[in-house]
Amino acid sequence: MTDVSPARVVADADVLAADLFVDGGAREALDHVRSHSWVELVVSEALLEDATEVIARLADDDLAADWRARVEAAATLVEHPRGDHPALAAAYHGEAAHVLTYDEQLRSARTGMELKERVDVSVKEPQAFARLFDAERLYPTAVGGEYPGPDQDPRA
Amino acid sequence: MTTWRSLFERAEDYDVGVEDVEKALASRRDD
Repeated sequence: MTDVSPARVVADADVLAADLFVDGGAREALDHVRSHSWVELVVSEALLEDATEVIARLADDDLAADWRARVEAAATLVEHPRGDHPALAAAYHGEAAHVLTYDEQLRSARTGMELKERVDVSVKEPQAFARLFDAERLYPTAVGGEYPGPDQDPRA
Repeated sequence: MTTWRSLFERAEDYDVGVEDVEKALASRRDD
């Protein structure tokens, strides 16, 4: 089992796209990530392709391309074998402690137990992550020292 | 570089909800 980081977060493609379109839980969750330079959004090519395609289908190609460029500039890209579930594989290979998804099947107790045998990852709805994420508590172990507050503009 | 603020404003032109996103992703992954 790999050492995962509580400051690394994977958002499944549904959460990535929902963040763009809806001022709701996904955006609230990813605002925690965007607000802190030491919290990493972990993505993979497959995750980016899924989200970009969803955005292009629901909006247009230009918005999808600009979204992708912005995410690529901010996220940590990891590789994983084709065919694996993109969010779970990105978490495994990116040593991320959190997977955010709206997929009920992925969040099910059975999936959770199966995952725990392979990787120490917590699969949550974005709203739950947004509610539970505590940057002040995490900072001393993730970075060290006293939490200075958010250090990035989440809309930049 | 496009800002998140600008992307969110452009996305408001489309009436898209979480369910739409979930369906679109499920459809893509089923393909």
